[in-house]
Amino acid sequence: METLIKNKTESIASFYEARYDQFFIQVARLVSKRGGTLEDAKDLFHDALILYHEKLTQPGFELQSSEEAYIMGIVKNLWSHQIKHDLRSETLVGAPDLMLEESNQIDEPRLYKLVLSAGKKCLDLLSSFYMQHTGLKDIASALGFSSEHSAAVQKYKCLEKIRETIKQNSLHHEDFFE
Amino acid sequence: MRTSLNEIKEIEDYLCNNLNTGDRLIFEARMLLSKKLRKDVELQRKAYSIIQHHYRATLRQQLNVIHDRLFHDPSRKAITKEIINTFKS
Repeated sequence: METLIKNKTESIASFYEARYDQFFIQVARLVSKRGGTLEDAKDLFHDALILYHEKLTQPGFELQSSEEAYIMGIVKNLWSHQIKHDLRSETLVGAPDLMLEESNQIDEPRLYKLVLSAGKKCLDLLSSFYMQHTGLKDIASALGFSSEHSAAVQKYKCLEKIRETIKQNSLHHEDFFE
Repeated sequence: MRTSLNEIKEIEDYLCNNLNTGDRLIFEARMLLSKKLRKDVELQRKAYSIIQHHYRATLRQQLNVIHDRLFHDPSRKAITKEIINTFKS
């Protein structure tokens, strides 16, 4: 699993570096003009690249505009949203066609921390599968499983574990079960 | 796979629109009749949301490390100065 994550980390690192010189100064200028700080610019730039990277790794995605227009469009959307909300406390919004609907965003950072402490390995595995689109064959190889089927079973066991953690920690929220 | 894992797979197929029309209608009919199934679907939806949150939180940490390295890279001194000056005016 560590090898798998390391490879993916390297890919996001080179993706980021390739765009840093060209786009970060543009984001800085925009944020400065609108009264933000260098830290705001950095956070917005990172969030925009995360969203853009997610889109690029989604099967079937085709960029309809220039990369510059797309990234700066996300930055502007995120900035508009940040005026009303604390961006760092919630799931990203702003890019079109997000995998999850807005209504499914995490409203409880506390819940995430609980799930993280209960099963970081599972979160890493599932994140690799669902967000980075790593194939079951690669996951099986990284985890030392003999087959893709074993990796698939582990994937569903991890989902079950996370689901159960959420359930145990959501029991006091009556509206959750309505 | 044991029954509970098959149920998780089925919910995933439903949430990811991988069921054909007939199976989808049957699944939705079962949801109408079963409060437990409705709860499980919501729990699983929330699980995917947390997975996405985790992925982004992990990436943010990685990008912050890379950013610090590039920002203090001597070969990028000129562009770093330009960025800092952007916020001085």
